[in-house]
Amino acid sequence: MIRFDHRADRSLRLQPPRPPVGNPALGRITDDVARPLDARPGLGWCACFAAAAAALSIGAACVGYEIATGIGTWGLNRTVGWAFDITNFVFWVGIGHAGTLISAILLLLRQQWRTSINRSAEAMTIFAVICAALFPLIHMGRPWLAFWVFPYPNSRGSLWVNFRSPLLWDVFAINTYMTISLAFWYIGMIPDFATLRDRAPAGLKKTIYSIASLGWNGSHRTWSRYETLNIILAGLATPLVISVHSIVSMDFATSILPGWHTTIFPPYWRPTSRTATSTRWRR
Amino acid sequence: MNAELRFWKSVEELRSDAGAEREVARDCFAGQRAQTGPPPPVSRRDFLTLAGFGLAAAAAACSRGSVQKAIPMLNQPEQMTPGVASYYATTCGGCGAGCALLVKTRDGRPIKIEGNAESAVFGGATCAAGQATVLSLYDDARLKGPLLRGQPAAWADVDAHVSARIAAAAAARKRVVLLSRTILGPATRRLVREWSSRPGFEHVTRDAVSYAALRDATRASFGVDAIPHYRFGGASVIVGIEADFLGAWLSPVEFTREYAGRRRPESGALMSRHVQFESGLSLTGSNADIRVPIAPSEQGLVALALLHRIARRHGGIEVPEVDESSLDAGALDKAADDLWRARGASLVVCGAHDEATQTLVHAINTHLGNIGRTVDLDNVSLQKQGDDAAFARLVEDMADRRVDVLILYGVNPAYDAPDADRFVAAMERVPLTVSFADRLDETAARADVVCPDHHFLEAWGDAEPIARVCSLAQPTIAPLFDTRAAQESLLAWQGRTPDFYEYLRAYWRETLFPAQDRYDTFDEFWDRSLHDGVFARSPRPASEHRFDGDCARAAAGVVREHAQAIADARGGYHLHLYEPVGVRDGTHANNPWLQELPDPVSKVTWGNYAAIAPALASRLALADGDVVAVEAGGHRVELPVLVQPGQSAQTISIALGYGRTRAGRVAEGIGVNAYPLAQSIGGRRRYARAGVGLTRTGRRDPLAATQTHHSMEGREIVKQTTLASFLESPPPGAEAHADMPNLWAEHPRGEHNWGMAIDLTSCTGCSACVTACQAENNVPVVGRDEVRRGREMHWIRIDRYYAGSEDAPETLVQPMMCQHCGHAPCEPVCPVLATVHSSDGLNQQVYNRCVGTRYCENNCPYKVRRFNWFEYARNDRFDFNMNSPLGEMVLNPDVTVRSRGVMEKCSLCVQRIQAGKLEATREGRAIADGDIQTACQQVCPADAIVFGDLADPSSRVSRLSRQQRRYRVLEELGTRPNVTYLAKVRNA
Repeated sequence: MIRFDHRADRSLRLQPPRPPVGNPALGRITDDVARPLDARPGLGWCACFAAAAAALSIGAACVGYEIATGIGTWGLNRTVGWAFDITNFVFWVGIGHAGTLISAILLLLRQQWRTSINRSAEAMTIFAVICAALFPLIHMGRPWLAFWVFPYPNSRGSLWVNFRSPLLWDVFAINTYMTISLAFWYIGMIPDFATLRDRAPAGLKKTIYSIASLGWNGSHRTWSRYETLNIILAGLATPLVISVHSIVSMDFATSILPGWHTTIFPPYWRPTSRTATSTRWRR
Repeated sequence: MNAELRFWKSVEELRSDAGAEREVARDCFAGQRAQTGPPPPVSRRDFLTLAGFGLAAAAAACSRGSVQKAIPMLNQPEQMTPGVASYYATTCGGCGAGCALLVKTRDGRPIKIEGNAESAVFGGATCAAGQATVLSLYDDARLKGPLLRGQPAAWADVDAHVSARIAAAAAARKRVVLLSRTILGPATRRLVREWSSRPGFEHVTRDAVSYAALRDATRASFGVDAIPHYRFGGASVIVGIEADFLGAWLSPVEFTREYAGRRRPESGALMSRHVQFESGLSLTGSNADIRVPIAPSEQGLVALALLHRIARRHGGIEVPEVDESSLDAGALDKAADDLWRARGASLVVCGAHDEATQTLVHAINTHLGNIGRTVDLDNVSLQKQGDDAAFARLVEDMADRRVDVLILYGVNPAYDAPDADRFVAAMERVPLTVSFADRLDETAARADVVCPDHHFLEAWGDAEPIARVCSLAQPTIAPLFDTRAAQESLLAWQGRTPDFYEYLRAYWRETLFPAQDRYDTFDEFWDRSLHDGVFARSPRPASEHRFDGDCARAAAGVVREHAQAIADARGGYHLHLYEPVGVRDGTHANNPWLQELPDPVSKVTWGNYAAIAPALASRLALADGDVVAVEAGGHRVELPVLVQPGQSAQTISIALGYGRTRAGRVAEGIGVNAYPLAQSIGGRRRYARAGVGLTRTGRRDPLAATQTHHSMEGREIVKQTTLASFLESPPPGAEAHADMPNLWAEHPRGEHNWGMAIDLTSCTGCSACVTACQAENNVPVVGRDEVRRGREMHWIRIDRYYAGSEDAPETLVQPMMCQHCGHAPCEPVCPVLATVHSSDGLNQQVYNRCVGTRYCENNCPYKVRRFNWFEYARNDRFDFNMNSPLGEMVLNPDVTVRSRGVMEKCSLCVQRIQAGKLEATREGRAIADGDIQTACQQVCPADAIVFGDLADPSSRVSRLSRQQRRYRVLEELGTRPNVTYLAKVRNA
């Protein structure tokens, strides 16, 4: 039995968020922000989670059927070798870029309003990249051999990956992007883990938060290091927004197919994907 | 293990030992010697390590591997080496043409059909149906043994039953009738003659698709009771009237071979000109230099109009005038001019099922002096001997209970007779019906006794398709089931020894052995003939044949018929029924290879359709796949529409051979049976009629076509020119794109550079290569739905493009397979290097390495890569030959059966290349040009495909690749294909 709350005067049920009135104390803001982690989820949350889990199960069942039966279950054919899969891949990579835009580029540009949404934007990036990576995996004829696209030492003699293939560039691009995004997300969360650690009672929760907060003590020195690292990571992530989508667009641009074979793709894809997704955020 | 601590007494000893060790390292036998020396000492620690490892290994390997038994033969059969193919000469039983074959067997089972190059008539080629016959051998629908009243029985019981009934019938002076298809074998013919020479015994011959009109006309015109042997090789001008002689008419392999031999633009004026008058766009019509669409009722008028023009030029012959207002007078004038200019070396062939029209065509050939030259009446064709009138009389007699025993041999009238219901009703009135059918087909299902015949690959036999051209048939496998040769059944029921092999030998000893003087003993002659498969006697010299036909009567006949057809057609359409290239007359309907073979012209697989002209389609607002009802003579069939460019304006063309109800699970529910739409006039079958209704049903049944886009979109994918302009100014040869700069490094070059040259002028599009490739490379059948989704697996396809107007288009065909590009776009895009270039110029696909990203398929500009969307072998979703232990026996053991999720494509028959290399290495010589043939090349009756080594400048493929007509497809992309095409030249 996990106890959600250590304060006797609080209800176990999650209360609706209190809108900030006037200039609330920092302690109260911390209380407000941490409250969902201390309380049981509400009915609305449970309903939404159930709906999402149902959708996920349908998706998992479909993917399971596809992997068990063959990629022929999708409506692809000889001339349309990719359709649903590449569209989703590109779409999710684009979604991921919007997150990076908010968290990294706006950080570099000192846009303060980003702080209200940067955590969820970063989370969105992580999960969008996971979704994006899923499609190249399940679109394969033999997904159980997908690890062959990684250049790892093996006993197959001269068999190695093909560094000329844009699909391999995709592998590296997605992995790099995933790594940077994860690091950026995690580094950003360290002070918050520390806050939760401080609020948690002794036990498993506290141990986990203690490890996750990496010994954060809230000193000026840690804050200063934290800010520096954030800026460095933002600086690393920003060119990735450009390179990853450029590389994804090269799946098409480097081919010789009419309609795909076009040099405008790399510069064209970035602004379109980013504006398309970031306008949604601004609304 | 621990390094042994070594003691030394002096520095010299230490140093000399170190030197000795270096010597040992250089000595290649050191390891071997070391093994024979004393065992190395093992320390206690080493022992424990090894023991521990051994224990762990034994525990880890506790699951037992599956046991695969390979039991050597106690007595190795003669001439059989496991893994080495043997070839046996035999004769094809796929259709009535009787081509000589060479059958490849591996480990005792036939797996591939090739033409027999020893045959001067048929050559080393076959057609698509011939290729597919090997799969019919492994058909699950074949009967496993004889049936007596629908129940499995023993041969002895069946024989006792049938013999007793036949004896009783003979004693009671009742009639015993053997109804057979055309019997090609002279020995079988004699056996049947002996059978039916007894009083009360009769033999009636009937072919599924009738050629009786041609035979009757030849008898009436020249007194020769046979079909003439047409020699297309001697014809400079060919006029075809509704005769699909390159597709399914009479003897297509032979005709294609001879026809293509005269389609060489380099020979200049020797290149033949071909004019075709026809209603539907047939394979033959699509190859014609000039094609004129006509209604089926105008066939006779065309013949009459041509005769009229020829007679005028000839002088001294009276031919009545005829109203030609419905015909294209200009085309007729030109055709007549050409024919007259080439008299003696021209040929008019006609596929009409009307004696009057055929008489007029014989008259034309006579006046052109073609008799004895291109129309051989001395060495006639024996391929179709059906007698429609005799069959009609037989049905009457059966209905009147005048037949006591009916034996059916190779016929299926309950399916393919126009009035099948009458035949079925008459059959019920025959006390005993016996069928030799290999399966429980529409007729055999109603027979009292079924005595299944062997498949031709299991049986002894012979054939004489053209008079004096004989071939032998020998078993290539022991009978798979408890079947018996039909000849042996007939022998048994005559009370003779049922041994047809001895009968055959006796026939050859008595009849053919004396006709030769090369061999002294019969055994020598027999062994030689069996080895070669063919025995041709010198042809009879041409003799005088006087034309005795009544042209005036024939002319009156065709005019009357045409007038009648016009009257009938008022408010309706004309109907034209034809034999398709794939399933032919319906015999091959249960063969999945042929069902999935795209029609050479329409590219539709799995089923027939009503082909209508584009103008008619837009008037009736019909599109491809709209189901219509076609009504004729009280019969109604519903089938999808195909809008066919070049189709005659008011004619609906429907293929025969589909809609089988009892052929097997592959054929079931595929297409509709169009035979009931044919008509019988005076007992003669006619595959055309007027006054046919066409109504829309509102349903849709999308066609399973492999090509749905018919335009080249302005690119010169197929290049063509006319003979006149080719001879006047030969093209400079396409070098424009050959030396484009390239970023990649050149591939390392090996000893060979395999390539191919394809002559588009020779290629007719017959699609034999498609089936040959399927047989050679274990290409799976995917079925109708998957073809609809654009997922057919054929490694070679024949692209067909239309140019010009919709009403009279020019048709271009192009075999397309992997081009084995020097800079293949598929190679750099594969993330796992599953497709790589060999030093021999091959683009190789490594199935084991493929993970199935399909990028190679996307990036292939020729769209020749094929993906295994599903597991096609041993999968109930794809219940074709690869899902049956019997059907799997046809698989080529030299070629991998691909699993799901991997890409595949044409390998240029790499297994044949390897076999050729091995053979040459074993014999210690270099590979000679022509040693290695790809499956598509070997099967091609037109000799349009040439494979060879481009690194050898004198090889045939190299010489062709330097020809003036050469070009490479989509060369401007910098792919540098190893396949060269030779532009199409039309003699128009």
